[in-house]
Amino acid sequence: MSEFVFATAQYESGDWDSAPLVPANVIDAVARYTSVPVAPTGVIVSLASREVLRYPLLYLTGHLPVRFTAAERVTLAHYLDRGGMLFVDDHNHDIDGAFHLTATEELERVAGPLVELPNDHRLYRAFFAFDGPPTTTHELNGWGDNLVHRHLQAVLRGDRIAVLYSNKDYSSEWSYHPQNKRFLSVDNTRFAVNVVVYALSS
Amino acid sequence: MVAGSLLPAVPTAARIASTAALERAMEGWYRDGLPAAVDVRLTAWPTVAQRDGLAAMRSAGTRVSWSHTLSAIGVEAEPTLDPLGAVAVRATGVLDDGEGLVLQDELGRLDTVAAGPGALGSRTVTFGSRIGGWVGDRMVLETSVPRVDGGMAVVLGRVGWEARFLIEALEARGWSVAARLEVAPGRFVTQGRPTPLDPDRVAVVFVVDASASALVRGLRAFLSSGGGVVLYAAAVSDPALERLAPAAVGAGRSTGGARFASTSRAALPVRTLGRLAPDAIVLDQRDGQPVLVGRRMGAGRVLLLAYTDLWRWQMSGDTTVGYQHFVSDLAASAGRRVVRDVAPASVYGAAPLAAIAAGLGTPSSPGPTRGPARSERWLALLAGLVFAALGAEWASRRLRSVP
Repeated sequence: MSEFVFATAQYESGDWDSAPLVPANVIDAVARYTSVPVAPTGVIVSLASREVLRYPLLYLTGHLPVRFTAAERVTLAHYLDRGGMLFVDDHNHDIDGAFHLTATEELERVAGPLVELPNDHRLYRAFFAFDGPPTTTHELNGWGDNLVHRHLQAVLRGDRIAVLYSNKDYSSEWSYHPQNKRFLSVDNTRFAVNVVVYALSS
Repeated sequence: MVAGSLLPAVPTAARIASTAALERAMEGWYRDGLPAAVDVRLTAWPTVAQRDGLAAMRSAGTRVSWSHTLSAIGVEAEPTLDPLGAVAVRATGVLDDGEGLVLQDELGRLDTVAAGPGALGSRTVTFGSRIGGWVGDRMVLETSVPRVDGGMAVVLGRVGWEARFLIEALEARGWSVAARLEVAPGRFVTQGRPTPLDPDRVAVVFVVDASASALVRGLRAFLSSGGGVVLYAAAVSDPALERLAPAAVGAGRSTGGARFASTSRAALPVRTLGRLAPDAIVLDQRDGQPVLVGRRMGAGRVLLLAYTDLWRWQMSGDTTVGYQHFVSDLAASAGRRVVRDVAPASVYGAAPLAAIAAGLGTPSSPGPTRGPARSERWLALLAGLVFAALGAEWASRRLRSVP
């Protein structure tokens, strides 16, 4: 039985590697709370490569404008058709920002329209119970749009989330060394467990 | 006298030499009056009107005797559990040289089961609700396709890609799926109502890993009651689940150098299946080694699958449907069939010669027996050749004075 491997998507435009500490932190959370067999380190896969088909959950983030290559578009469309799930987080937390405007345009071109995900969606009960996407400490830090984003967005295939899109800036929220979780009164990576468990079971 | 003008004088007896002559004769009988006795030789399949007309004459007092040169054929339609409605059709019997039994449903011609003197065969195809069988331009039999209540597929295992893609594929193929997936010790992600494993509700259970070992007693009872279980190789690492398996699971085998992302089931890694149970049947092989083994257990069936990471077929395969078809076929093969609402066959019946005999009584001669007669002739010829060879050897040795 294969173990879960956290995979970060590498794309040619922009800064795909803007949150290098996120994978270790998510892996730590999955191992800490669940019995899901998980690989101790994540992988980085090119979005233009068929290697992405080995990893049915992909994480993609960045600050800079996103423009997929033709090969990246083709591979991503194929990946989503086959049942893969792409989790995209706007590292700027800015709905007028370069990443948001370009990434959402690219995603809608490849995958279809993004819609507001209801806050009672199964994602929010997949492991821990949330009443919507948890607020991050970065949303009101004076940068970005300085808004608390009440909903995530998604491209749905039937009932299933094919693309999960966030302006919450989880890429900043989860970007610290896992051993520093002990300083938090509430582990802020718990929602990452929901994303992984949802992908593995829905 | 009115009655006399409607029912003219009755002839004594009639001998009809062929089915073609029967049609003309019946017109006369209906017009002029029924004979006291009729002897018919059926040289081609009669129409339903002719068959039932003779039966009606027999009921009205005419002594009907008959003989025939017809083939005894029959057809049986057995639905599979596939939600898309695949039906296994088996035709039995022997046809004359050059003849074929053409199967057809409401939508038109489907298949020719066989032509020539050999025994007829079987097909698994998607049919409408009724199947007609034609020899030449004459419909000779008809049967109904029974409906099955497929029940539900249940998936047991850990939260992971294997269970997730299995559920999605079965649902895409039309199955109703319930699941119980362990996500943490004592904690489960559930879909629908996976337990209790009641065969009246559940047709088949997929066990994708050893985390379902706590349910082994329920699985054993489910099998005993006629349910079907599909064990993945990863499940058999648990001793309790291993006791259900039709074979032992060994080490992994390489994929023969095939790249993982290449394409198909043939590129997937497998575990070795060995020490097969005495009643186990190998259902599929790869490179001469079993990859799918089944056995009966109680009134149910259990299948063991050698593949590991079967889900990768869905992500990397050539088509989106290969994996879905495969897991649906597994479910249909193992699952319990509950056949409901078997509509009565039409006036033709699924075994037409039997229908004629039911209406007209036993034929005066048994009719042709083509298949066995041919094989007996071959056997006699073969025996003659053997005796001739022995005789030649004996003569050769005697002539050379060899003792």
